[in-house]
Amino acid sequence: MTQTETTCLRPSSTQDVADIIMDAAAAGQTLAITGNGTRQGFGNPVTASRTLELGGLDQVAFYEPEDLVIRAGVGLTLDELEHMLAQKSQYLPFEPPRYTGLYGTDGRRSTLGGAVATALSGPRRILCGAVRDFVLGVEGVNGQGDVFKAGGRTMKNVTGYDLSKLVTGACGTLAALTSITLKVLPAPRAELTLVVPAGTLEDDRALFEKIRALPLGVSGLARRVAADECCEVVIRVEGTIPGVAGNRQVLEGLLPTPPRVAEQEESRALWQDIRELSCLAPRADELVWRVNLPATAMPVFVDEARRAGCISRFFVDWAGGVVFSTMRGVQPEVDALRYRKMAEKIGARAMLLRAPDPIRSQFGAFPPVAAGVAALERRTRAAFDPAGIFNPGRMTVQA
Amino acid sequence: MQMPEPSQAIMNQRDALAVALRQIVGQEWVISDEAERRPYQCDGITAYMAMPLLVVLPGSAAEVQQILRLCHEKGVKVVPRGSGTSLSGGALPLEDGILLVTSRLCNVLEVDAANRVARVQPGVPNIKISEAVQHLGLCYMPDPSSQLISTIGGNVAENAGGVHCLKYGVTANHILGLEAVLMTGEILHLGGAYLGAAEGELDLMGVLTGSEGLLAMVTEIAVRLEPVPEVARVISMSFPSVEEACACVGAIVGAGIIPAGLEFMDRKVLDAVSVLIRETFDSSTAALLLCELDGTAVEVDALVDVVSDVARAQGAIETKVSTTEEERQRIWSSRKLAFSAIGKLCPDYYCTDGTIPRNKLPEVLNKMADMSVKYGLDYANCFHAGDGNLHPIIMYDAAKPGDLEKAEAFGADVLIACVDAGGVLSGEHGVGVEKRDLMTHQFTEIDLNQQQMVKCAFDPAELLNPGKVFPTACRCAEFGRMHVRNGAVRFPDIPRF
Amino acid sequence: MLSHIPQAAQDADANIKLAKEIIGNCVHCGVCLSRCPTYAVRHEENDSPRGRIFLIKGMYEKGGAPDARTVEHLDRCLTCLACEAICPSGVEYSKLIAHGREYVEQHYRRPLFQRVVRESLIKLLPNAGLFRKAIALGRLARPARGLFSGTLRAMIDMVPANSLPAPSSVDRPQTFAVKPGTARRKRVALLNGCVQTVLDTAINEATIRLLQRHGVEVVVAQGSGCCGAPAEHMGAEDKALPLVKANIDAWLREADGPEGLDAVIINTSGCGTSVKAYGHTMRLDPQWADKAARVSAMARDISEFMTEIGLMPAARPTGMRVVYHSACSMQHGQRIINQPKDLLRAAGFTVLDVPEGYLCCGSAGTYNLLQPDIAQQLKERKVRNIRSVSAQVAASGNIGCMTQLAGEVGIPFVHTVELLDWATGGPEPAALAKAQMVAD
Repeated sequence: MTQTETTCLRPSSTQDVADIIMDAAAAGQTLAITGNGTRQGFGNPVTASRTLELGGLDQVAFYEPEDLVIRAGVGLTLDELEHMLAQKSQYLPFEPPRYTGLYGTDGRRSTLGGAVATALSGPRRILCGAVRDFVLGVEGVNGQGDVFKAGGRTMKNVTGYDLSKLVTGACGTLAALTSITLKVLPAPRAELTLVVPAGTLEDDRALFEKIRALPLGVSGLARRVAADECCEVVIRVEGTIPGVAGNRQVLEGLLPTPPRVAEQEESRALWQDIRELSCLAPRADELVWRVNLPATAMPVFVDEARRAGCISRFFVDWAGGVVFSTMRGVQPEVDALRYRKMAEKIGARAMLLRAPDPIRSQFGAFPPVAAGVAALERRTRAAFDPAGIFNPGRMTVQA
Repeated sequence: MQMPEPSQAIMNQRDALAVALRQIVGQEWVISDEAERRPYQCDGITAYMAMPLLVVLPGSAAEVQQILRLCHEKGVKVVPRGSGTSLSGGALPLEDGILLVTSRLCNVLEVDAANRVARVQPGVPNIKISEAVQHLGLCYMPDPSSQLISTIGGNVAENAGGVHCLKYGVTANHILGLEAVLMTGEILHLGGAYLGAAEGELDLMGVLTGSEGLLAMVTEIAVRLEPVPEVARVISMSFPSVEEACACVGAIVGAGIIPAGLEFMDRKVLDAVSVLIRETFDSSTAALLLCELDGTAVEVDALVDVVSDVARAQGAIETKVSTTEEERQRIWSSRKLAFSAIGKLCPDYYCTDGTIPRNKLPEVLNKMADMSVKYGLDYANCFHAGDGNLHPIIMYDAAKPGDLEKAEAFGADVLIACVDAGGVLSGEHGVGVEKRDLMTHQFTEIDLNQQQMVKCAFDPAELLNPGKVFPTACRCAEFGRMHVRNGAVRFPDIPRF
Repeated sequence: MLSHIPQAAQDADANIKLAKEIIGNCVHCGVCLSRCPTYAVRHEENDSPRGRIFLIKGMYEKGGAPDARTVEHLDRCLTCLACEAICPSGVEYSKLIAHGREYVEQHYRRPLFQRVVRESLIKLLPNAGLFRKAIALGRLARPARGLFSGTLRAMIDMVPANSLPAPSSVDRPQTFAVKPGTARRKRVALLNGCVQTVLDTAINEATIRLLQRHGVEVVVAQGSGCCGAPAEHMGAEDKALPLVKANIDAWLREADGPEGLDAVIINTSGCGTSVKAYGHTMRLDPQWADKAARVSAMARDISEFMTEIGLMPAARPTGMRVVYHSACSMQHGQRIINQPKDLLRAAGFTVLDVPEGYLCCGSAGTYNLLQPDIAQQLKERKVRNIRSVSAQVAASGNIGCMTQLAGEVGIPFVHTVELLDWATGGPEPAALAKAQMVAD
């Protein structure tokens, strides 16, 4: 949890944000930057003089469906945003997860700004790309209280450095974003999910590889724990109605057993569960991990980690490229370190999605980066926030 | 084009520097002879030329590292260059700087089909990646028109687009990892060879992509590979007016379809092209749209019908759909030959790269017609309509005194109109030197300062490709010290180049 | 691209004026680099078409004697013309480089060794008798090849290991009537070439049989001979012109004679490119311009001509897997791409393409002798590519490439016409028969 000494500030205009920051900078105060505070458990715990809540910046500047673009304040909730897009049969292809089930907060209040700051992408990542691929432009305030903009509203743009990418996923450590311009896309007309019982991890990975090698536009490939505790492989197809029907046929030919088919609503619910990690059902005292890794390394990695007692429950998304798992060690300090080392050994990145504050403070929610990169990250942060007043320690473990 | 004043002191050290560089890369890969440096004077824009101090062609990332370290020690500027196809002067040499050419770093290091990634060196031409994975049914999606020769390193530097980026995205969307060398010689590994390898880091890779060689030298790139779409078909749609063609662009997207490519050609381009492809276009056609749809056969058939209906509803005179691959290639050949066809109509042409919201197309195209009258120069339009990326071709004669200046002013006016319409100066060619002085029209002083602060984090000595993108130097030292009130101009005294 | 070539130089030399126009068409887009063999090996702008255009521009802008570095880079060009074939702006690089080389020869004094080598090659190649003697000499030197390096070593290595075929009777001036009982459909002159009459006499023999079988009367015209290309490639226009004129005279004598002439047939694409360019070569000479243009208009590669008249049905099922190597002078110089492959398919062969087929094999006339290092690298690359498709036989329409590659590809290497002749009833090509014997 973020600890704040005094008040929580909730401005409603960019100018107010700038004034608050300038005052804070002048007074040598630090600021915890949040939206509506639904994902404070993500990243490292922050200790700051005051909290700057940007949830009040929730105006939509414009939405031009025929130009596939929307600009809105960072405080706009994802629910509102997605609802507005759905009215025009459009959507956010990166399928942002809320993870509020994980953090025990109200997912309806999760904001656009939070989605961009955390840069968490959902299952469709394998086909459509990540959050960063849809952020066209931003407006924000740097650590000196200067309002700056970067990027634009067009799909293609090579004018100056792409600061929009840099602030995406920076967890509010570079700037207090005030508005974001997103590329949106027409929502697919049809979707369905094929479900087959899981095999061994290697079998399933090989199946993922076979499916991904075909140009079928498969938008979800996961291996999850179903309601009955059995594991199953789920394959999502989206597109036009005839396209989906055609791809379903091709896929059925590739599967070892005839699949169960989840249509429209059921398919949607199923993937929302995966997106929100519901099938992981972590106990309150368990740590939750997310490991990004080469899909080919997944089966061995998971097997070894389970044998080592580092994984108790898990599921796999992104065609084998990400493993979500729980850890219930009696000695989380030891297990956490061990698990992260195992990941590092194969060049994977193990992110601690949920853990008590002291553990995240000690190990860092994010895997450590090489010294040279860390130094450049430090210099880059200083380029935005020279005094380091934004979210101190959110991304890096403070010495 | 005003460039930073070359340092005579550095130029005097040319011979000693050549000796030191030859110790790193070997005798033949430092080019010091005047006649041999001349072909490196310009990139894809011949209007801007400068003689490089020396041309260096390293053969490994380790050599790049040593070269940069040496230049950093000696305070020598470095201009990176791939195949020299930049259309913004990004690889324009500096008289007191070495030209660091990546063309010898041209190996595909690893193809990992199972994880759908390839690791390549920066000098690999874009198309060679797809050729290397063709037998696996895979490809590298971004396809700038220059893809036969433009290098992947250059594509990263310029965040290159291409005809298919409407559906598949630009270079930045296909890069998973980078190995980059800072000006100090420090090697960094960003991201990795799998999806999401960069998560939890600052997106330094994202800011390096499209940084036009100002931040670091990229020495290795991990790119995403995609399965080659099963079929692609193109619909050629002719319209009686430019307005109707533009409206159709919005209507297609509005119908929920993202074509693989959506290209616009005006009558002047069609007339020029028809000579080359020996095909005539109906005299009532004022503009032509080419719309490519790809995917599975069933999917594409369904989309072809929808797009054809939309086109007719938007007033298309005629729609033609390719039925074979040969036919598709033939229809596309008109677009591919457009620029050279125009090139035959005039001694020289100048092409800019502004990008605007799709719905502003008619407005900006109309303004262009007025500008043509104002400057007395003819122009033609052939562009990526789907993503609003304009490529007006302004025709002039470099041999005629004042013509180039007029063409440049015309181009600048178009770009200003693009920015005023909510767009940007460059969609895919980059700012380089060509659009550098217009940056202040798109960005405020504060916006530019914030960008230049990032430059200071990467290259505080400002030795990498200076004089490009930004109209002023950074003065990184001052940035660190000064605190300026919101909105105030930080350095009113900084001289423009 | 704007150049600043002095007006006086343009007025004094029509080729320089033309060069300025050609340079003006280049927009410096760089597409040519993607097809250039020397760039593929060297990765250096100066060894690319775009770089050479710049060098030539600089040479004319400066005037006087070109510098040694410029000359070196111009020398390295293989004139494969892959660049010209792909150029979207239609830059006529072939003319630029040809005239550039003439300028070099006129204004640059080469080091002694280079001079001797180039002059002897110019003398040697067009003269079958001298060429035979040189090869005999080369064979004597072979045991001592370790003592030589560079060009000399390349020359010794080039000498065929097998004994040369005896001069063929078909290469003497004469007329080959159509087979008795066949109607005469066409009458053509055959350029029997210079090197080819020494190194591989079977090609002309097969060509004549094939034509005769298809009702075509073939003349080897009195006075015709080397096309002039070897000299021209080295910029020695003065040495090339007499050969060009002799050919024009010889063929026009036939064309204007009582029997007439439908075409001049060339079965070596390098020579074909050169004969098709006679019109341009002689364009400034009022006495010869029209005559040369007539000859160029009559020139046909054998594959073009066979496509025009149509191949008869195959007489025997061959079904072999043929990898077709397209010579640069064929695919780029003459833009003949599909005809030879279509003919081979029509004759019953399975035709395979060479990966990176646009790249030159390094032979390029006398190039492999003058630039052995680059030629060797290109040869190795081509050999790798040919071997990669696992064919049973390789075919090409140019003797130069065949000589360069035959010993290396691991399969018999024959001329396209030999396969066409065989399939339509001629004898099995010797290289195939020999390979068969070894296999048995």
